[in-house]
Amino acid sequence: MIKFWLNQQPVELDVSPDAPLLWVVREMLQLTGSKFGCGMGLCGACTMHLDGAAVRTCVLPVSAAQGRQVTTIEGLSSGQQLHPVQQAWLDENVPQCGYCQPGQIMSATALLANNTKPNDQEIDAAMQGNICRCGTYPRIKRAIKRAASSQQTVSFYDPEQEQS
Amino acid sequence: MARSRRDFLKITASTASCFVMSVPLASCAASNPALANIGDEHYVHDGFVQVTSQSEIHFILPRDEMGQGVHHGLATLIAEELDIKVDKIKVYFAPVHKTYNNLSYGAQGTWGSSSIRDHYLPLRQAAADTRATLLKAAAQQLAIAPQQLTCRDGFIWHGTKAYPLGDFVATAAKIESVKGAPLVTDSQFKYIGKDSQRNDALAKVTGTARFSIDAKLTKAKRAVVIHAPVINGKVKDFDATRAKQQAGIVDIFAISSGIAVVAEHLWQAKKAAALVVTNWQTSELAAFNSAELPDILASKIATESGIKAHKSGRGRKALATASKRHSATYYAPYLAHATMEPMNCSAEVTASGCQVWVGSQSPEFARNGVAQLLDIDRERVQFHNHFIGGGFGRRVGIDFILEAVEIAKQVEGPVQLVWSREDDIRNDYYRPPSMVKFEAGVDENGQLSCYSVKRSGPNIFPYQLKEAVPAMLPELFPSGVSSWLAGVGGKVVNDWYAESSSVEGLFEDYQVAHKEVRQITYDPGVRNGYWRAVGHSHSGFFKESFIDEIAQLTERDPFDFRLAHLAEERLQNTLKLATQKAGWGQKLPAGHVHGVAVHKSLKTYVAQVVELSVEQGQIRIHKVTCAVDCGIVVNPNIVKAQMEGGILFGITAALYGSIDIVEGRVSQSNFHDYQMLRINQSPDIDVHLVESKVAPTGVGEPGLPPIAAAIGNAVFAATGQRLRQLPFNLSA
Ligand code: FES
Ligand code: FES
Repeated sequence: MIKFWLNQQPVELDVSPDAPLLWVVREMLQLTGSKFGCGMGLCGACTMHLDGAAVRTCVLPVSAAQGRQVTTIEGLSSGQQLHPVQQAWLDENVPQCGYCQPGQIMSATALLANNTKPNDQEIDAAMQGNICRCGTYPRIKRAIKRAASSQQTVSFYDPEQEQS
Repeated sequence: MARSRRDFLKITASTASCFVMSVPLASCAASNPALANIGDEHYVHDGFVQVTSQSEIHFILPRDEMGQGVHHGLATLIAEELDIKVDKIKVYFAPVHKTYNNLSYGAQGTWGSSSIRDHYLPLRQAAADTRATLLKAAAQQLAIAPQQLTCRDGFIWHGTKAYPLGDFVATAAKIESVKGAPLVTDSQFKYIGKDSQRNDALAKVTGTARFSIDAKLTKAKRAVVIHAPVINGKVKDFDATRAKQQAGIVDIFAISSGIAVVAEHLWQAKKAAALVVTNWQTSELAAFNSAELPDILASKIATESGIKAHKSGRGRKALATASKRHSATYYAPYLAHATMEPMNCSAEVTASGCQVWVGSQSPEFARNGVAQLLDIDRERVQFHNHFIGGGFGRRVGIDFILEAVEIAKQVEGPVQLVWSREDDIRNDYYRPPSMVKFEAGVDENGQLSCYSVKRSGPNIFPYQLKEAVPAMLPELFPSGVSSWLAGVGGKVVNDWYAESSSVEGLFEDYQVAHKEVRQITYDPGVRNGYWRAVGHSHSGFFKESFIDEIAQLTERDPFDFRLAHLAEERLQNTLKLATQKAGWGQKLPAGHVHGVAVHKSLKTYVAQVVELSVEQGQIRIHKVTCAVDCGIVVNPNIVKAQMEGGILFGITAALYGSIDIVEGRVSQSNFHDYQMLRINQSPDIDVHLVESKVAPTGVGEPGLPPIAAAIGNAVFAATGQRLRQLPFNLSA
């Protein structure tokens, strides 16, 4: 029995421990937002968060998730409220075909969680494992910067000051 | 009943929250397929626009969305004429029906950057007629003179009173509909020409956009196919004893293209597939090595005259009288598409017919091919199209769809076939390799006076004919006859007629008194297909690099030389805009150089200036400035996105792209050896649109053709080395 938390819900599965997390989540748990692109950890389409860190789940056995927190694109927004990174993605009209975008967004959110103001090199380093065949890279860069600055505004927002 | 404007806001909010998205099925019962699954009273117009009694506006999208933006762009045309925000329109993928034919090509397919070009007026007319008919119905029902009513935001307005459109659909469905209603004039556009958030973006950033790989078939079995290592190889025999003992395996059997492994879960199928022992019967391609192609094609060009594809003036003969002559030979290899979503398809075959869940650029070919394979009536194939995770021409091919159906035939219930990335790279319809030899003559004034090209390589059409002929023929045509016809057609193309996609883009853009283009077909037998921008994808590189060589020969600035020879004003203006925005001729940072190229493809004009440096033998592209003239722009932001996408797709091909075949086997397999451009190598891109009032043209492909040449021309400016072969290799 493998137990872990998926988007904050407990799950318990009778599954072979070497089954890749990606396919377990897609086929057994019916969350298909995470995509398959290469199966070799080369493209990032399958990126989820494992205890907050971006991981390539096409090459991650489900057993590695035992007792841990797994977050997929479906678990990123809370209710109707989009994650600021998703909002920035909309504002920059990033997606074309859209297939790589869940993975891109999961990598970007993991980056911004650790580094609220990444510079160009840091963005490149965090995002170069995610391929976009449609060529949305210029917009991804802009969206990450936009999200970074909106997060700043939120964290420094001071209601007292606003009232005065 | 009348409603105030404030009520209207409430109503739309509540409908939005309770609306359940469902894709209509291609029902065999409904005479108009767009009617299917949409119950109660509604008003239908031409199968494109529907208004329901709940005042929902449905748009049946005739083309497929694969990133190029038609889901939003074509809906914008409907929005403009109905005077309603784009995101208030529900978009459905069309079923297979002639209503949804691509007007330029006479079949239902998404290709040729034709969607906006084809549909700009017809879709607006459909929506304008819908609006006029609803107004007519409202006037009748309310007994108010039609001139006093307007249609806006999903309501019919009489002064400040607003009546939901749904109130009038029953009447509208009964009266004679209006034809040829006046369209909104260009100066009144509210939505066309304006930026807006794409209507598919929210689904795509939340992971809810449904690609075919995500088809909700919870009970589906999962399948993989073991393909022959040598292209066109066949199964001789196989032993699946061990594989069948693995957990979850449902069945393992041979199909025409390999061995199908079917399991409860995909990972089980993949694991078991590795245990199947197979004996393959190789094909004649086992002796083929693509590394030998350049020599073979060069000798063809040297010894054969080929078929005439174009001749003007005295053609190549005029070389004799030129005061200066120059010749150069270029080459581009096989390329795979590598769409981000690997080929996949789900199918279920039952006694009553077949259902197919797929993302396809050619749903009609696919449906007809499936019907032929199963030997059932076409209307018994229900075809569910999806968002496409990258097409670029790959999903014109229907091979993987037929594979899925062949498997489903032998499996109980639905089955989903998912190709690995390796299957995808090794079983593509490759961009044909191509060699061209240019010869040019310049007169005493430095004007290009003679331009001759010989192109050698395979053609695409014979391969497409195999799939298109059975699909285009009337249903009852015996399959033996249709495959015979496909074979004959392919031979005609190869032997008698220069296929346009083999030579397009090589010669049209410049004004030269004497031109000649000849095609010499040589086909090793590896399947070819349409790859983003098709012939233009390499012609743009060949032609624009060679023109740069002539500019250099005549000691003229590459921009001035082009401007003096370009055949159309729109090409000139596009080139001027790009160079002006890039600061052509101005000082650049130390070590940086510019290269330029301009190319017209699929009726759209694009010029690009690349700024790069060469550091330790490596090309570093810093910036691309792009200008595009695609006539009236429906959505500036999407046009820019398509230019960005085309440029980056073209950079991948220019820097890395090559499919190599050794003894009939494709050497590349996944992204480590078939590299894609990554974000850290992606330059800044600055796109400018030429203002225009002429009819719009497409942008999905035309952003690609100039980029490789612009890079190569800049490398020449930096190093003096002329790059004549793709992908670029500076040490060669
Ligand atoms: S599918 Fe996992 S990295 Fe490509
Ligand atoms: S948006 Fe299509 S692969 Fe990235």
